[in-house]
Parts: sequence; C-alpha cells; structure tokens
Amino acid sequence: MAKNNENILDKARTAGLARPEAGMRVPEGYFEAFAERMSSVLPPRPELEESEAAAPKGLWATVRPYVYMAAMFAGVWCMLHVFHSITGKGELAPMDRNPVLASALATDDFVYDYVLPEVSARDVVDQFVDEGLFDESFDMSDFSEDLTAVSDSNQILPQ
Amino acid sequence: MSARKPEENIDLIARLRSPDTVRAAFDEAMRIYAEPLYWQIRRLVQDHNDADDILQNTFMKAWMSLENFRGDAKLSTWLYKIAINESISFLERERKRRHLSIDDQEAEMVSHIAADHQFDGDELARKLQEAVATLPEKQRIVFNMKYFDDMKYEDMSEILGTTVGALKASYHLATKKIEQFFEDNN
Repeated sequence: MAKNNENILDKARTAGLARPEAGMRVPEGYFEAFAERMSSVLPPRPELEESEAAAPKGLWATVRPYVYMAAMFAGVWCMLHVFHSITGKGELAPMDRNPVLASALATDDFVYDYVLPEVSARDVVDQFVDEGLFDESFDMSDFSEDLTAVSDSNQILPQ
Repeated sequence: MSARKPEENIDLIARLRSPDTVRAAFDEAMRIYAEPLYWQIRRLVQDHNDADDILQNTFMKAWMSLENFRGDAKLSTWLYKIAINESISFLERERKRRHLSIDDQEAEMVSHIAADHQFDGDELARKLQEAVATLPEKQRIVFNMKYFDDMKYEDMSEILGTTVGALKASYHLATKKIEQFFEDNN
C-alpha cells in the first residue's frame, strides 16, 4: 500500500489529472463569453485611453513648470538669506547693545577665565600706552606680577 | 498555464501602453488569460460562482491599476499576482464572515468537493482534489501552480515573492502530505 501510494501523484499524472481543469466543469460557453461580458462592465479610463496630444493643454498646464522652477529658486534664495541672518557674519553688534556680554566682561572672573588667557598683560600695557591711557593715577601694581612672569629684561616699561 | 510566445506578450504589452490601442489590448489580454487564471482561482476556492467573482475582480483591479504595470515583468506574472491575492483575500473574508477557523474552512472544502455537481472526474480525481484541499493555503497555491499548471519555479518565485528554494521545499512537503492523505484514506 505504501508503494502504491508512493506514486499516487505519478498515477494521477498518467491518468491525465495533472491539468488545470482536471475534474472540474464550467458552464457551457463560459470562457468564450467572459471577455465580452467583462469588457462591458469595465469603466472608461480617459487618462489611459486619450493621448496627450489629443487633450488640449490649459494655460496653467503650460506655465506650471516655469512657476515651479521660479518657486524653487525663490525657496533657495530665502534659505540662504535666513542662514546668513542666523550666522550674522560681518554684523557684529556693538557691545553696548549686548547687555549680557557687557555684564560678563564687567566680572573679573570672566575676564581672567575667558579673555585674558588669550591676551598677554604686555599686550594690554602696550595698548594702554598707545591710547594714552597712562597717567599719574594708573596703578602699575595690577600688572606687576604678570609682567614679571612674562617680562623680558630688555623691554622698557613705563614708570 | 499555457504560455504564449514571448514575442506575442511583448507586442501585447506595447499595445497596452498605447492610448490608441489600450482598450483593445486589454480585451485581448482577458481572452488569453481568463481561462488559466480561472482554473488557478477555482482550485483555491472550489466553487465556480466564487471563482467567477474573483476572476472579475482580478481583471477589474488590473484595468484600474494598469498604469502600475511597468512592462518589465511578464503580463501573466502581474495578473497571476492579482488573482492569487484576490483569492487569498476572498478566503480570509469568508472565514471572518462565517467565523470559521482555517481547519473548518478546509474541511468544508473537502465536503464541498464530494457534493459538487460541477465535479467531473473519477474517484482518483476526487480523492486528489480532496487531498489538495487539506493542504495549508500557501502550500496549496504552490502545489497547484507546480502540479496542475506545470509552472517553472522561477516564475512562481516572481509571482509569490518567495525564493525558489522555499518553493521547492513547500512543494515537496505538499506532495508528502498528499501521499499521506491517500495512505490514510485508502
């Protein structure tokens, strides 16, 4: 029995059953009439059935590509303008219009931590000399320690 | 499925893409593919009226989404995909509508074959149909395509979106189950 069943699909194939329609019936003339019956119920699809040349193009359809292109360039220009405003290159605000920065610079700790490490005391003194800020009331002791640390014995210091 | 020569298929596809000939070409496609698609559907759902409904839905969907057919695949592959999906959707809807489990639905199909006045075959044919009806849905599809339609695994892979290896394994399992069915029911 096992051997019998082993080849059952081959037996069925030999008996002509390995066909799509094997063992099943359809109503007479079903396939012949199907295409016509189906065609009568398919809705029209003008977007498929009408060629572009036949359909008249409206004014909007004609100018649309150019409008879209102009909008694209305008968008790019706007983006560049916004980025330029955000970065603020070349538009440094005067310090007196930046109260936060002004108050920070009034604090010695801020100056020592964030400003002076980049600026040597000698540079500051030189600037003061250049700007004529030294007078009798100026106290050099504020700079003496720094100047001693970095001083060059050949430098001539104001008295 | 009886395959048309590729040349004819290419010409048909070209005519489907032309506005002047699309309607006539689609009518021709229906004449060519209605029968093979019908049998594939009928073997899944068993009942003629259901198969007729699904076949109509298949061509309606194909017509309404014809612009989605890119033409780089076979027309038959595209139509088969729609037909298989419609069949599976139908079976799912029927299960939900009638609150049937998958096993209940399979059992119903087997009993439907026994009582089917549209069945036209001998005892071996009936037993074979009943055996196929007990297969899981996806296996049944693979078996039908391979055994009854003698479809190449590569074509089946394109239609079902499954690897050739998986399809071969699925067919092998299906044949084993059918052989077991005959052994149990002899």
